[in-house]
Amino acid sequence: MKVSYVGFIDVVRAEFYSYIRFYKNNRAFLFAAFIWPYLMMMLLLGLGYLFGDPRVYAERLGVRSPVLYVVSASTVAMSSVFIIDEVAGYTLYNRWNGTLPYLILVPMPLSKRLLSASIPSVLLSPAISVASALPVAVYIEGLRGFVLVASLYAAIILGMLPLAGLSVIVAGLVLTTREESNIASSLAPFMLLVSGVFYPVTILPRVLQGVSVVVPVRYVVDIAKSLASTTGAGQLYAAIYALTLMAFAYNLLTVPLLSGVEARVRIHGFE
Amino acid sequence: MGLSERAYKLKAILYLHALRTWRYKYSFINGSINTMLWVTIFLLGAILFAKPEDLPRIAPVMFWGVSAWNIVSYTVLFIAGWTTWFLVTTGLVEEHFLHNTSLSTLLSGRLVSVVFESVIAIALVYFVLSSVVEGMDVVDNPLFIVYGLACMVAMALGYGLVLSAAGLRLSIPGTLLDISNFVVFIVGGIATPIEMLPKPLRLVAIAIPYSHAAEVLRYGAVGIEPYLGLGLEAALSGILAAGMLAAGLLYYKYVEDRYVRIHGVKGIGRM
Repeated sequence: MKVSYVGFIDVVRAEFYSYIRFYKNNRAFLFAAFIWPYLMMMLLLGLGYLFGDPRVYAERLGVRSPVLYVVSASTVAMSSVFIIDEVAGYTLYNRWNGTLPYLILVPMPLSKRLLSASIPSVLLSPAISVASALPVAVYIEGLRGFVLVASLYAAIILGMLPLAGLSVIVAGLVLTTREESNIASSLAPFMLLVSGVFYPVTILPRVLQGVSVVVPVRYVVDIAKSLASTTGAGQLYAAIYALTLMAFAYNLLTVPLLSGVEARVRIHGFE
Repeated sequence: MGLSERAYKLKAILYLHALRTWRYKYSFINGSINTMLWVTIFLLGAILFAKPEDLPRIAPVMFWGVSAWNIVSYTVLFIAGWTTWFLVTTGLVEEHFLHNTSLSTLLSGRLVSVVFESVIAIALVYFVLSSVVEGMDVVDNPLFIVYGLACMVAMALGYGLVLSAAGLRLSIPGTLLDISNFVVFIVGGIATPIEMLPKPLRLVAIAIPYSHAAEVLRYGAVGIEPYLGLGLEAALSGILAAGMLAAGLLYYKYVEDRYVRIHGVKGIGRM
């Protein structure tokens, strides 16, 4: 008798299908995903205009166009939020839907299972955010705006690889907390806060500056700042090296950590 | 209902909310910091629009604006949101009717959780802002701060009860009816003094009840003269707070007696 096993590629393909169907069936959500970077931009610029002058902002950040930078930063922010929410919240949403026991019973290590779920998010979430930012970038900067947004997409993908690993670890740890609500929902704003998404990291308290060193989003923001900078791409290469290193470190960490979580859940269960 | 029975019910309701906060401690901590992290991200960005010499004057205004908005939005969320996502879902509406306890009394006890969460959230924002703006002084006259905040809580409680009651009649969760949340922050005179808003928006702000209590609060915090004068703004705040609270309680009683007891709950639980 021929026995066929579910392979990693099969699960990734299924996750892609599920991801695309979700957006196809929730077009209002897709629309919301498109306009969120603009809402963030409007909130920041609204507050900024009330309290001061955009030229002061551009000068202090060293960027050419404050509007373009805020759109780019909002794109990075929304991509990060989507990935953290979708990947770290994956086990929780399955728990709410009652499908988590089936997920645990899939004959595949939990780390692999969760990593496979993160791949569509890593590739498609930034694509949605970047597609949203593209019209404004092209309108303000023309061809340079297009190149900037395309480069930003590559930077976000690179940054989301370690972020996905980190989110997978959180998704596993959520199984051990014995609470039903989304206790990981503050993870995304915390990462954005310490990453200096709309401001330089140096204005933060020292302890938060220290934390930001191990947060991948910080380096994606550094790349976005370099791309929008008036002084050249000084931070670019350091950020790329840091992200590459973190992509390996966080994704390798998922295996031992989630093996422990999986063993615990199989014995003690989850509420 | 005798005095001892009222005291017994009050004690039971306070105990319920304190116990529930402890049971969901991770959710509680997450809830305390989540919104404030988001707000702090935008605040730190907005600060960079201001000239450095203006910061000691602007930062306390921002701090109290955010703190007030946090209390208002948490009060509405914790009452209107909790009604559909917890009270209706778990079937506790009918349970309280059987014990002759009004839902509005039960929901008013949610202020216990609002106070706990707000204290943590406001302390967090103060920690970050005070480390960015040296010598930030946020208290001038505590009496007016307490009065302004108390009026805002009473207004938000009344508004939250109206949304909660509407959520019992409609198949839409109460918080989704709250489309005004972000709008009142910017144009409602909470984020900035009414005087700083563009002229057409000042009329909008005056029409929003929270703006009057916020003006009193800002007078207590940094001594900014209220837009309509201290006496008038303080009187308006008190009258509007009492009016909104009374309207909320009366509408709740109307919905309970004339709709829910006859037709049952139409509101849905988790979507």
